[in-house]
Amino acid sequence: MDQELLERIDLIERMVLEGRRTGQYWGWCLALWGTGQLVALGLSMLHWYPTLIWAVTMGTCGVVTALVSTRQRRAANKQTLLSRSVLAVWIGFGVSITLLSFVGNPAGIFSLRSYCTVFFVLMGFTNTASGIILRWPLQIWIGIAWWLAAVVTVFDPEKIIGWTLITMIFLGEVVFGVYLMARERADRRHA
Amino acid sequence: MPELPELDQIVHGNLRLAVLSILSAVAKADFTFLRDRTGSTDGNISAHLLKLEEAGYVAVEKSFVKRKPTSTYQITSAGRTALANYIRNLKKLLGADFNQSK
Repeated sequence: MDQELLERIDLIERMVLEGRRTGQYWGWCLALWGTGQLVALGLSMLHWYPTLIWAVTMGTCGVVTALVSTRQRRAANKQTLLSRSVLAVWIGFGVSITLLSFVGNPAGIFSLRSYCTVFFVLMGFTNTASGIILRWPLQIWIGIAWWLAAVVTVFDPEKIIGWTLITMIFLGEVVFGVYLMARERADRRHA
Repeated sequence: MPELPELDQIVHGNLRLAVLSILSAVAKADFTFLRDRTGSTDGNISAHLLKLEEAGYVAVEKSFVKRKPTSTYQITSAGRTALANYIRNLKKLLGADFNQSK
């Protein structure tokens, strides 16, 4: 009897999560940052003041994210524990990577290999944590893919590291973000 | 010994509980969405939605989208109260077991 009742509690939690996941629209954010990073990478390869290019591109992404997410939160008129937890994980990631990029990189502390490894590890951590909070296997697998990329980067030949970075940004951010946007669009039609 | 609470039998059904839980987290949801999210079939979920509607726990709005009939469901305040009471009673029934499992 108790087991059956515990299963009911589990069912309620799972179904409420299903509903709330539908209300968490953030695919655009991943696609935006992924595209921003690819643009910055492309422009910095042309040797036009790379630090300035990264600062402007990432700054623009940050401002757009802040404006759109504030508007979305106001429209939703509520913030759940779930959305706050996921937001906390991503804000933690954002602040960490910004510090590493704009303090560590210009100071010459990081090589491309060490920077990419740290970036991939942090992306793995953030995606896996977010996937566990949302009980979403797909995002957990994406987190594991970022971690695998971190391991591969340690052993990658120097010339391939840049391509690994581009591939991971494209697949793990842009493609995943666009997939989420398509899923969200389908959900909005129904819920 | 304190009296044990009774569970609302309308809410207690597995599929009905799943539907009410989803509807408590979204503004509105259409038939297809509820069917897919609960992994149910058309016939099965229709019967349970009708039961919830008759109990006044969900409200249905029927319309045409691209000439196709669509039913959109929304939890009512009675449904929200029933779900909250059900969860409270469930926790009371589970008592120590529930607290240990958490």
